[in-house]
Amino acid sequence: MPIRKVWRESRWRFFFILAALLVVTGASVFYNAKAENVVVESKDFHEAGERTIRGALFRFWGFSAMFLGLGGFLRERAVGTVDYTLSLPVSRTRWFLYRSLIGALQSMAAALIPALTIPVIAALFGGNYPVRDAFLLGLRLGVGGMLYYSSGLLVSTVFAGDYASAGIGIAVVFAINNSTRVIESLKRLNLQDAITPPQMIDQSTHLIRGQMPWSGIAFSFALSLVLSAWAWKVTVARDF
Amino acid sequence: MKAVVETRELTKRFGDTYALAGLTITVPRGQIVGFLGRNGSGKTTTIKILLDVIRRTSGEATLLGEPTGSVAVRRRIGFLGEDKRLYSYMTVREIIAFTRPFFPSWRVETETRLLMDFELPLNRKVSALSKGMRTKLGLLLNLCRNSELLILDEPSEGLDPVMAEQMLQSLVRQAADGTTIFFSSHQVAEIEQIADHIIAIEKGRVMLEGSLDHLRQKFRRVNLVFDDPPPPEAFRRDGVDRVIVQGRTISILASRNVDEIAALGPLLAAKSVDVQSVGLKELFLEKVKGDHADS
Repeated sequence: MPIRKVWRESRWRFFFILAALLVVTGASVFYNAKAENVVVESKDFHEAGERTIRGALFRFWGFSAMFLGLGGFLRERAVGTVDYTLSLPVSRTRWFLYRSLIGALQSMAAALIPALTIPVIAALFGGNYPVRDAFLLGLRLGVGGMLYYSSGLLVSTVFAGDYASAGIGIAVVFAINNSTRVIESLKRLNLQDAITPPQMIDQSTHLIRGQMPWSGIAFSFALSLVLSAWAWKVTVARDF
Repeated sequence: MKAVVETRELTKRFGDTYALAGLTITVPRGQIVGFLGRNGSGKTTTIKILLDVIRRTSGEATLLGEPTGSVAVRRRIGFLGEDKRLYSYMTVREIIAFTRPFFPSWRVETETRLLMDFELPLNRKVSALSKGMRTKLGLLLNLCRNSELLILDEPSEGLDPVMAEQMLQSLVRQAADGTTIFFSSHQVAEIEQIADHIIAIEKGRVMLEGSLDHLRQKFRRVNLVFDDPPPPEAFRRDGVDRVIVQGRTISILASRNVDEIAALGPLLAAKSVDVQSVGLKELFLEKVKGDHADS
């Protein structure tokens, strides 16, 4: 029952974000592969697919995952339903668990589904893009980028108001992306490089080569667990 | 008689302001208990602490003998908030189906009866319901739980008189089935209409507590008319809650020693002595004034 409530409250946002990411993915693939001219070779789609997942999809998905993390009891307080929710025989921890798990799954789906459409788009236009590459890059994006999602989860438990938490969340995503790209000492923490390090992509085929380094992903994911635990602590302790 | 709600020295501080300042109350089982207080007196804060929506600063609070926040206890209670907000995206049918599985003692026959009595449109979204309809739906969701305790925060707020009366009668019927009703209000009349027991608070502290009958019997107003009134200090004694001098008349609110106070009249050359019973509204207003005079 709590799961159904959490799903119903978040599903339209999820579908909207998914649709937007599919549009972004499609447009990026078309732009990078020049598929509108239907003069393509498979390697065009290889490059287009890699550029899309590591570029446009990464950037848009980061913000989307942050938005999927918003919501919760502060949002319910704003619409006036938090008293009813908290009077039901469900602990705050369970509510938080259901919300965070469903949101995390939605974030994962929002990374994997658009990535997996790239082989479909490529096939429709006579090219190809390996499903394995799409899946692995999408998975790395979903798991490694969970930090964006947990940032949204945390800001929405600390800051009341849709606009405040969304605004702060956007600022956090910008800060994570730009500081690790610009500040020399933070460059090794760049999430984009951690999720899809350039050395794991063969520069001639634009496909994954060799063993994938998982340490960056694991570090980013562990950090997202810390932020989620922090959000849980705040949720359990604060007044609504 | 075991208490269903107990608080001891309960405090809640928001910044520098104390919403509750050592509140100690006891809600006896099986009664309708009116929780009376002005706006901002601490009623909603108390209820939110009992429901664990907000956390107390210090003190103790128990519901049905268990600490507040116990999930098991929440299976045995019902709650209807002041603005009766429910999930706007659900239909009436969906919110009933959503709530029902949380409560093992859910009474399906009560649900069927109330759906008919309240004429609730099953397929209408909660967002499309009027406040009156939302109140009916909120009542249905609580009355079907077969709960031991029903907590209501300003249940008649914003309702028209007919709907308010319907709601009060539903509470009386529920109490007859053994449910303890604990409802907050700043409407003295509705508390006087259905409550067995009163807890009145002001500035986060209990100002008046007891059964309605007992309070009615306990308090008396003694009006004394003089040609030349003596100083009010002449009446300051045990049992005197408030002394008001208005021209030649001295009006005394007393909870004890009423006969002794009335007997002072002839001794102090009063022209007339009149002892009257005191209504809850008058008592509440006097207590609030007294509280402000003291502070």
